[in-house]
Amino acid sequence: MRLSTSFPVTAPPAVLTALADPAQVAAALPGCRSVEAGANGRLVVVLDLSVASVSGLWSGTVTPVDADTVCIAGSGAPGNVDLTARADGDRTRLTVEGEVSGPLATAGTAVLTAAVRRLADTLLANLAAGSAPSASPHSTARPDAAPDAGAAIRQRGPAGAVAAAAVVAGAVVVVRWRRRRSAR
Amino acid sequence: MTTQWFGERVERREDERLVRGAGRFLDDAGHDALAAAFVRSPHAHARMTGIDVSDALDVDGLVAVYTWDDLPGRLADPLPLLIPHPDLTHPRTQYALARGEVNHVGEAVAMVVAVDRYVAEDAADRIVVDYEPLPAVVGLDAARAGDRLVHEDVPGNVAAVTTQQLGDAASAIAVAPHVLELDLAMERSLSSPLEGRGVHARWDDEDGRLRLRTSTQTSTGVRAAVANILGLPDVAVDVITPDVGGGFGTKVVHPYPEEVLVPWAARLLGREVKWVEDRYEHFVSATHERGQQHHVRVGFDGDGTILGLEVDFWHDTGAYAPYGIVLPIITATQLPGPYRHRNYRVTFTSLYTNTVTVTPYRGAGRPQGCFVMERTMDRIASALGLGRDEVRARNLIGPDEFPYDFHMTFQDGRPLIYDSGDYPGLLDRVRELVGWDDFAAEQAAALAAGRRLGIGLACYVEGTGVGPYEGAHVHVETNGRVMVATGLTSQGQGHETVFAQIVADELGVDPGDVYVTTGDTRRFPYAVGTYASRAAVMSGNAVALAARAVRAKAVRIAAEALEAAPDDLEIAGGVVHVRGTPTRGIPLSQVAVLSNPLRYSFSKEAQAAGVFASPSDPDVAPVPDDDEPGLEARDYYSPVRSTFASGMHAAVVEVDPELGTVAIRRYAVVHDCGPLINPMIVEGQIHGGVAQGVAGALLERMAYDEEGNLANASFMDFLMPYLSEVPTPEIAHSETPSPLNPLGIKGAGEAGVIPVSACLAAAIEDAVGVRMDRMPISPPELWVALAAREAAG
Repeated sequence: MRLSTSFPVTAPPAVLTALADPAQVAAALPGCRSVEAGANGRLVVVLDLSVASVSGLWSGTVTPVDADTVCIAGSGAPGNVDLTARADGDRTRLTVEGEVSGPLATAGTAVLTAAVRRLADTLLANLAAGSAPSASPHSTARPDAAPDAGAAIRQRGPAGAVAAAAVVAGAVVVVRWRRRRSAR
Repeated sequence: MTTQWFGERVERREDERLVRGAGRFLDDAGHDALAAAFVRSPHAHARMTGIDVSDALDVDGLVAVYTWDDLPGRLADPLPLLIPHPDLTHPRTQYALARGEVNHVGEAVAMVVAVDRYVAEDAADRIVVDYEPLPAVVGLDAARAGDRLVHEDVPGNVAAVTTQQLGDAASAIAVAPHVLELDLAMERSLSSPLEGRGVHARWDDEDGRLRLRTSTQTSTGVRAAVANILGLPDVAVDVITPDVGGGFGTKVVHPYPEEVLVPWAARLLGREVKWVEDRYEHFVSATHERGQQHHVRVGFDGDGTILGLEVDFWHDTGAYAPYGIVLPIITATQLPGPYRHRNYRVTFTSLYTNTVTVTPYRGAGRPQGCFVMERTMDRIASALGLGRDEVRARNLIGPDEFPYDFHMTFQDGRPLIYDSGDYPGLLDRVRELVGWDDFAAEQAAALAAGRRLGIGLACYVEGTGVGPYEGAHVHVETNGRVMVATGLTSQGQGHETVFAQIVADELGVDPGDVYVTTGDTRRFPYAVGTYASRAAVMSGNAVALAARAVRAKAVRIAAEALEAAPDDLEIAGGVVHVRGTPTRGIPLSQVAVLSNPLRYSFSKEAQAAGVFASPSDPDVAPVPDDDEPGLEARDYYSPVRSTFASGMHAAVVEVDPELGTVAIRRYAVVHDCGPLINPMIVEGQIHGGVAQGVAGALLERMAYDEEGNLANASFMDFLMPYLSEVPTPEIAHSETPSPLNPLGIKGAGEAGVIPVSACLAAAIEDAVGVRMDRMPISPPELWVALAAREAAG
């Protein structure tokens, strides 16, 4: 399935610096299992990926193309991903385009688009907050969720989805996914 | 002497399971399936600029959300135009999921799939769609004005303009001694079956087959559309119709968006998916019907003979026109009724509005046509001071004038030619049944006692048994069961009973040994569907023909085995025997064994067909060239044109002038659908039709506001009749056989509803002297009309 989405992001200089630090980024996104540096600034990432009812282990590479662009490619039980993420408009917008196949693709473009946006927002918000999220794998991923909504979600079961990769200028991004325990 | 089952009030086979709650409706299966729910447009007309499902991501159990952007191949095209027509110059059909624009409240925008319907609805509630509302076109007046358009590229909102004519109506009216003009209208309603729509799909990856269950009136129609749209071979798609809790027309539309989206999702996800409509969805996305406005000019002479009739009318087709212009064509061609027209011109314009799509609902344009013709007859009678029955009698086509050719084209594309009927006979009988001649005295006595009674009369002719064809397969198994399959569907017509009666007669068996399956493409893949009062005529004749072929084969095989002449054999009680010698016979089950030469005998009885069982002719193959194994046959019935049923209703009503309420005191139905297969079932059809007719006359309407919101999209405000509102009609049958089919029968499904609005309007007018030009009429409306008349003095 073809994915194509573009949305505004906030990436102040402190966040950009944090993005250059794999350890900080790994801590900013729950679900990540490991990050290993490869050649030419490439990262090899393994994470627990969960979108809607699709979940499982996913591994891939994040490869910088130029100062504003990275390629994210990988596969696993959830499916295959082959995306390009590019910062536009003086790094105030993020454009993510590419192909998704396998079980992930069956969730529909609207779901994947929303998941991509949420991931980017979560990653950047956590980095800006300057601290890693709680070690519990079950805390909600929504950065701006009202407390009541969050509580309601938790009552239904462990928190829901956090979605696939996002990229910001000049640095590599590590994606970390939260294991989602299905209640059914 | 065998019992004759045709004409018997055989109890319905279906009823045992239905009454015990053992029916298998769509929602009775697929408990482990994923559930689909739909995000539907809240606007009558709008552009869609975006969709955001972020909030839905947190709903535990969400599986997918699909929009038009996800639809591949033909699924992304507009849904099929089911019935094209040369005059339908601007056909428009919807996309399975809205593509950038929505054209009625309720149009499907996104499909949500989740672990159950509760979760799916929770997720759907959290999906945010961005709309830019556009001006909505609601109602025929707004559509005609044309300053706002439903579809940008359809000028004046006109889907089609059509004229049909007989003779020269304009000239005839120009020289007529009397001319009347009137405007008549009927409001929109909908089918509202007890069970809504539903779709349940399973994709079997191992077999590469799609099994689709859908609450439809046409399993073969759905199969063809789904196979074509999803790019599957026809043979890889099975469509099975479960027990269906009513269709009444709306379920013949196909494919509904849900009928292609659910199987597509099932295949994509590798899981069973099911969707079951809720009542609100039925109101805003299952099709509607009836809304039309008519203008009449009629020229007549001093004794009420019609000299010329011109009708111009406007048909509201809703936002889309998948059914083309069949509905207004039916109004146009059924409006003439049982009358001897020589000069008739009808022109209709089909207009789009930002409301739910319009397709046939029981009656399908005939109630409107009958209302127009019958109100016109009443008006003529009133103008001349003649009896309403008298004026009708003067114009009725006589029993010796058949076939009566209108030189017009009917909804089946064939000539409009009435084949048989006895209209004067019907008029005499209905007058007698309702007590027409004695009513004047009854009315006067009531008036003296302060009660307002009125009597009305309405006549109709109905084209039934519409083609192109239906087929049937009849198979006598070696266990003695007679298995019958026909491709059209059932929604409560008692097909399992009446088709068994027909086969029982043809084969000399008991109907209890005949098992009928309908609407299953695995059992019979060639069919059209159940609509237009056609099933008995089409499949009834097809099963008769197939059963006759089976009988002929049985007799031939039995003749050889009994060493008798085929002409000396008859079948009774399931045994083929020599006439006059019942002991010299072979049961059909054994004939079935003999029909299939065996190497391996699977039972003791089957040994009779073994290779060493009897001497054989060394020069004749076990299965000769022109023969096939098995005691079975397949045959089809295809009519050269429709066959015309007819009837008349008469009613006595009482109006309460203080409340504006109408109570029906007597309701008489005289009805001719030719010979009756099962009179009890026909009466049931009439009862149901009358109920829907009363509803259409007094209760049901779609309350759209100017912005296209449906204000009464629930049973709180959409008024379905209770038993207290529906009279039990007194029914008399008349039978003029059809010369067009082997069984000589005509259809009966819609007859009960067709003349009811006309009949009740006439009765109300007779009771209180207020002109009834528009139906339905509610108590407040009647009260206001009465008050206005009083104020005017």
